[in-house]
Amino acid sequence: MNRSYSSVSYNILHVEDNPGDVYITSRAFQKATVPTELTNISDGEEAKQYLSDCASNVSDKPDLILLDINLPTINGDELLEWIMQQEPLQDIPVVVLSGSNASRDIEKMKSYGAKTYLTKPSDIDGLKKVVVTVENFLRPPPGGPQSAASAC
Amino acid sequence: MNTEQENSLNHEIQLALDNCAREPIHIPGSIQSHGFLLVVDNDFKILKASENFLAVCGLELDQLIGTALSRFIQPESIAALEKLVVKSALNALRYCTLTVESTNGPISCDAVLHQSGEVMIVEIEPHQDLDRKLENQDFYQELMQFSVQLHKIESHSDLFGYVVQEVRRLTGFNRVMLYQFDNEWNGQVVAEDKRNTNHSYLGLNFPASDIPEQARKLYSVNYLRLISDINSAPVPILPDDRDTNGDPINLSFSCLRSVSKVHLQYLDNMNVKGSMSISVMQNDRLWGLIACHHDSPYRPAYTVRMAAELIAHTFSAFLSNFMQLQASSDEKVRELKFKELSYALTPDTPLADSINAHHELIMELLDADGIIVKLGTNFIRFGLVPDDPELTQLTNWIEHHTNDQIFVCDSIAESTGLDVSARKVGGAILAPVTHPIENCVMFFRREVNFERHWAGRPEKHISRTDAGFELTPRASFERWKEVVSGHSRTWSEADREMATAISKSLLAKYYEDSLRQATNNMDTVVNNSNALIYIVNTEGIFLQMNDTALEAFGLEIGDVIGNSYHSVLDNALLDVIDKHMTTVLSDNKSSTFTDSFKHKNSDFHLVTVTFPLFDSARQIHSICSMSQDVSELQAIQAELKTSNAELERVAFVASHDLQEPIRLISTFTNLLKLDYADKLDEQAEEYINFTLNAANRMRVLIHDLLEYSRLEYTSLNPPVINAQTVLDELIDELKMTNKLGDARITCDDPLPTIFMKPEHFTCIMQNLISNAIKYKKDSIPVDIRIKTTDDRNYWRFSVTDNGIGVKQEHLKKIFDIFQRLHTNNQYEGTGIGLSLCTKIAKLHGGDAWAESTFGQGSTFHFTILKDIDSLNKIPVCVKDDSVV
Repeated sequence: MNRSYSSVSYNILHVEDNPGDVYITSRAFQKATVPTELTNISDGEEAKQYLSDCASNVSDKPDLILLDINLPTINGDELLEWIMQQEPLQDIPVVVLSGSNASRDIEKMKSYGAKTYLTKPSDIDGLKKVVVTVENFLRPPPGGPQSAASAC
Repeated sequence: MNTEQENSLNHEIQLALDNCAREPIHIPGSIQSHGFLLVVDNDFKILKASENFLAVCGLELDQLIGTALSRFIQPESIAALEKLVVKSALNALRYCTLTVESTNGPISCDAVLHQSGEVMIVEIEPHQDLDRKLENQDFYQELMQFSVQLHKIESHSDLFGYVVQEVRRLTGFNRVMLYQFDNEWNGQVVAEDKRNTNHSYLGLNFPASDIPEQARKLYSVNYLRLISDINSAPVPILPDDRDTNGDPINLSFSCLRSVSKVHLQYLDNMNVKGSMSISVMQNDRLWGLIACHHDSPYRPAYTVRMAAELIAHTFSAFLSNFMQLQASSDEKVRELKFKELSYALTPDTPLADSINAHHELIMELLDADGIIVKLGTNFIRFGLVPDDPELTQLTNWIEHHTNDQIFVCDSIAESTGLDVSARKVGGAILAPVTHPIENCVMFFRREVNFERHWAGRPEKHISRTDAGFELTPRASFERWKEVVSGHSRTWSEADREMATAISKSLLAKYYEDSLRQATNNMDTVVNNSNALIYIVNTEGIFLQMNDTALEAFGLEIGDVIGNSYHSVLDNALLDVIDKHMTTVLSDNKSSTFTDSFKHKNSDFHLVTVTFPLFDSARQIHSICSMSQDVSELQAIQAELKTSNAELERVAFVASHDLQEPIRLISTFTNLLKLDYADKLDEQAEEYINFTLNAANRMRVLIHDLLEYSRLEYTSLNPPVINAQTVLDELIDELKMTNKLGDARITCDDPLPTIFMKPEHFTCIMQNLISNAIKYKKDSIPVDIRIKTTDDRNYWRFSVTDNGIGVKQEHLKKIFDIFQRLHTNNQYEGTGIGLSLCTKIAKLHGGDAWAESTFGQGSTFHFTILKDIDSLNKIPVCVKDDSVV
């Protein structure tokens, strides 16, 4: 899939059930340096279904998954484990954005293949940091979206 | 009479009385006139002579002294006298007959000889003018007759009567009396044989002063005493000792010794002109006298007197025997009765009941009129006893005045001065006397008022003479009646012994009962205890097992007691008990065991204390085990643990889930502040700041709470870390985030390598360091010193600061969760930090505490186990990984 920065924005799947978080996160990404489009799914099972469709090319794969842990039906850790088992989905970077700062959670999600683990921030600076971190994972290899981004 | 005169008079009267008691009657220096006395040396050379011998020999005194006795008596008489000298029996009187060659021709005489010091005393009594004679064959006849008849006597009074009658028949005195002394040496006439015309003295009492002590002493060594004529002038022994400055001649053993004037006067007042007394001895004590009186001068021959003395000796021996027989027959009766009492004191009957049933027997045993058995504050009373106030006074008196084991008196009133007249109690025995009197038996006899008849008023008369005061014996021996009150019948030696025996056996029974009761009580306690209790001797034989243990182990008492536990028990139970026994036997001290095992399809969880029981020689006698079934306790404990874990889980989940909303409150309030800054007035901005502060504080609170409850859900598995490295990293981070300020942190020594998760160590250290910084003194920079101590099985970390310190009363409190000493305005904090430290320390087998001097600084300590094995043994609560 060839993407041009000017015409195409990055597609981020945000799996999050708390509407407040959904609102704040999408607001934060509106101010991102790269264009992003957040698709929110608030249920683990639904997310799984959505990603299954992606895997079978029914719909487009997201460029990054922003994943909460505490979710209805299927928890984030279970979902992550499943994602990493789906070959077509394996290369999608998964960033965990969770309320928990328990080391146990952090270790577990990292071991399941999360690119990084972010604790949900409670202030504006924290939010900015989340966006920056996510942006870093969005930058394509040299010659890809990164240069386009830097051209912004 | 003025006082001075009266005093002087009293003094002289006293002197007269003393003089009587002190008169040296054994050395009067004179003899009675019916015989001669010669003092000779070993060669029978005359040294002294009674004055009346001068007329017999027709010599002057100076001619006589130094002359051989053989000059005056025939050679065969000298030979007879020499026979009397037996060196081995110096003091014994020896008798013979001899003939004295007087100027008026030969005089046939009786003679006795005895040694007195270096010299011999020869006393000679002429046969002429004798009132009663006894030929040799008659002498034996008389004694034989007396002895034969004696054996037919059956009673005391018959015996006494027989003796006086026989002595009178033999000697021919007008009156013969048997005179018996009491304990105070008063005498009573207990038998009398007399001429009809004489009035009777039978039953009359004579005061002790009538026969003073020195007279009684002479009676005890010289058994017979004759005063043939009270009016005959005493004959001096010449030369007079006072002239020659020699020792006065001792006439203690003399038959002719002259008599005290006072005594002669006494006899004269009684109208006695001739008298004879013979001592009656019992057990080396003067029991009494056979007193013979005659209305005119009277002189029985020496042989007659000898026969009378032999009768007295025989009587004396017979009386001993008689009294012993009597006593032993009394004793036998008593013994039988006492046995009856002993049999009555059976273990099955309480002592009070036994006394109740047999009080008559007890009183009979002592011929008592009342008894009290005092057992502590309990008094068992029967018969005639003092009333309560009297009794209290009596026991008090005895407690303070009696050192003997037993108190005996015939008159409480007279002995103690107490008034016990209310109940007419006379005498008492109390045994045993203890200090204070706790348990004892008391016996009482009623007061017996009786009349005592004296031979005249029992007092000596003092009469005034030209030479001063002189003692004169009373002139009248008319019957004088005295009423004696407050006395009981006298307690005898046998009574005393019996009282002791009864008291001993009653109290022994009481102590046995008490002991049995105590043992029974203990047995009941043991059997009702829910502990499993048993005692095994050192051989492993069961001595005791309580019902609880029997039931729990499913055993029968009959199969257990007397058998070895090896044969009674099996499998697991045997192993457990064997372990207990062998441990205690080898350690010689108490041990506690916790055992879980299966026995007869039941699960046992026992905590057992096993301890040795020692005998009086401090040797292990047996071993006692007391087990408590802790199954239920363990179940409750497990339940508690579960519910505790559940509670903690709720706290964890709650705090975890609370994080989300508070975060969103913060975030949106922030957004509000940011996005609408230009649309909000000052007041709105202030509200928003308040909201933000509150939300922030809540977030910290929830964070700390979560940390705290999360501790329960982490498995320990502590890795080995270098504490110094972890601390350094922490300090770096604090510096980086500007949390240290001007604080200086120093370590005394490098921190050791420990077993602990780094975040745990960091958590504690961070809390302690930030506390030190938070509670600093404004005036000086913060100085924190960290020290490690090797404390046996533990590492102890101490963090000392120079801050505001904590008051002594708050030192413990600050470790309680949510406990804060300051308002949030003063010092921010959640009050969880120190409890978190304690919890972590406890998770590592240690503890946390603080010392502080208020105003000067504090030191916070925490300890953790050093050893990984010990750490792994710490029981961990429910670990539920699924929560996080």
